[in-house]
Amino acid sequence: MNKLIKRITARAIYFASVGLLTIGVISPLALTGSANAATVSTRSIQMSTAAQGATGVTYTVTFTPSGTSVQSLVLDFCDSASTPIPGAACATSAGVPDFTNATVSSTFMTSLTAGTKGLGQIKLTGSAASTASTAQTITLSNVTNPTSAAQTTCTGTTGAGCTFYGRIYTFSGSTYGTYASASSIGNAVDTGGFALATSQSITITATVKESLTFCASKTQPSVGCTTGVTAPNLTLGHGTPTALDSTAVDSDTAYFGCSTNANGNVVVRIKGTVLTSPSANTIAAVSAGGSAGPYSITAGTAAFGMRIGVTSGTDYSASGVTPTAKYSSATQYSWDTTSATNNTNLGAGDQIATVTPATDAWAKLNFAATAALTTPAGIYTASESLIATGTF
Amino acid sequence: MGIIKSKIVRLAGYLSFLMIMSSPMIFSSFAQATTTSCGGVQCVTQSTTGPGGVVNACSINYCLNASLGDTGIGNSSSANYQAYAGYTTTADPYIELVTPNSITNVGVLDSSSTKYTTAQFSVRAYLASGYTVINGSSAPTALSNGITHYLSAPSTPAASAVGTEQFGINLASNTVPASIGAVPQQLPSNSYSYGTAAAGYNTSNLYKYAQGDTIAQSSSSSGYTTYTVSYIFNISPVTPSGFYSFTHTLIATGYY
Repeated sequence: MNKLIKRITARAIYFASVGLLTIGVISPLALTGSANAATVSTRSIQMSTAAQGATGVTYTVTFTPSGTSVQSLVLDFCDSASTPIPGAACATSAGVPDFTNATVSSTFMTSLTAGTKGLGQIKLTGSAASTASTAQTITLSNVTNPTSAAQTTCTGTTGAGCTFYGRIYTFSGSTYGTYASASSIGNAVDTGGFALATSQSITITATVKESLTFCASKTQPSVGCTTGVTAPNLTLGHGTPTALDSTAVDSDTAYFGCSTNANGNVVVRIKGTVLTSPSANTIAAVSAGGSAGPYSITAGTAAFGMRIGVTSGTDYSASGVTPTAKYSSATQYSWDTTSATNNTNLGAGDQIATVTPATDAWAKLNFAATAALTTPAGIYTASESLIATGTF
Repeated sequence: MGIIKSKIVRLAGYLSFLMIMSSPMIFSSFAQATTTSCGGVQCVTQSTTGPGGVVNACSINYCLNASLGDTGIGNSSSANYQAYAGYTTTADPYIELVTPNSITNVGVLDSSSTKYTTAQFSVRAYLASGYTVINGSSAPTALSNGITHYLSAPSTPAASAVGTEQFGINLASNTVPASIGAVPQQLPSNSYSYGTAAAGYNTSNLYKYAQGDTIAQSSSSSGYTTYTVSYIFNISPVTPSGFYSFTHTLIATGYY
């Protein structure tokens, strides 16, 4: 009896085992038929910005297709409550990117163009099929990122959970096969899922103040006029006691120094008087104050003027200073009293140089004068102002 | 003869048992999602589940989401292979970039000192071959005299230089210009998270910035890695005036 029971039991196990073994072998075959799409490999979608709600964003889709001939593809995007699994339920709320205004360029297929496009989806069709099996790139421009508020699992205060998903499906024909929706993808050739995430922004601000340091000095000032600045008191004349006469053109020098961050440059102007005696006699501006200088000053012909030399590094700093043409001369001078912006007290001052942003701009100003035989005796003085105006 | 039959029967039984037990692994590559009605709840189930798979078991009113096999986020590797072990991840590709909303004003810049600040972001990625985080934005800008000026940023790592226009960042622990920054913090531990600061941004007291640079990365799936970004600002006396603004756009890309 026991033997009979054992034999029956053994046979039962035997048939059960055979049955299960059969199921074990057949099952893969049965399941294979239900999901025959290959997976695109080495896939990613890179956004040009992950900022939530950003517009004009570029999505660069990179993937390696299986090599099976395809001519159209669909990109679906599902919100943070969905998954990237092709064919699974896909919620396309506002928490997905918007492709309504997107444009496309691609290395994949020939003349890949956008078909239907909108919130969470863009369909693309090539003019010819592709059997590429190497890495391909599709660039989607002018995409709008989902906002934080629209992403249901996105925590606005911490920026956590702002993930959403992309899915790609390729099709052999140009009309997306039997694709119906993100959860009914039809006879896709290749599929793949992506995860993407938006994030909040780290914003840092800082302020740089407008700066302009300017000085006039008898000696060449140091960088930023911090040292080397002496009173710009000049004496024109020769002999003892020092005096002007008709035998020579006498000169003396002063400097201006400038440091600025004015990216619209600094204009340096000069305005003041010609040499004037207490009794109001004057030594006139060179060439009657003409505006087309520079002009020569000839000993014995009363004249007053100023020039900046022409040698960079010697007459003015190697960088930052450009003398105005009528004051740029190795030997000749100007003192404009006729232009609208002349260097008399009534004008705004005559431009003598332009300074670009520099830490150590300087120029040497050569003042010169001579007296005529008829020039009245007296102590002549001139008072000049240097004006620096920065444009920021 | 009876003994031989019995052994054959037992062997067949063992084989079929092994086949059934190994089926989920064999079938996992064929997994398909199907929508199942669970009473009043719609839930997604997988017809088969392999290691790392997720099963949603439903009763009339409730669904239970459980991980089976758990692909996880710990890994071990040899020269040729990498295996994952860990706890509590999903079977779906996933990436998350957490950047707390932060607006910082470092104040008025001057050419005699360095201004600095820090910010943090965190990244995690599952079922990925890794991730990168890149600088998506240009250097700080200001509109001055109608001209947009970009603060100069060294393209190779450089020390903070007072008086020289310089904007830079790193993801390291620094002592200059101050004790700022930190090395990437692995959460919950470095057994589960592997993000690192990228070359050029991982050296203490050396800073650089270039749009498009990779600043952080992981070569595998990783739990949270929290990065601390140190920002430094130096200006020269000729740096154009203005209100400089910098929105640090971080772009995390997972590779699957």
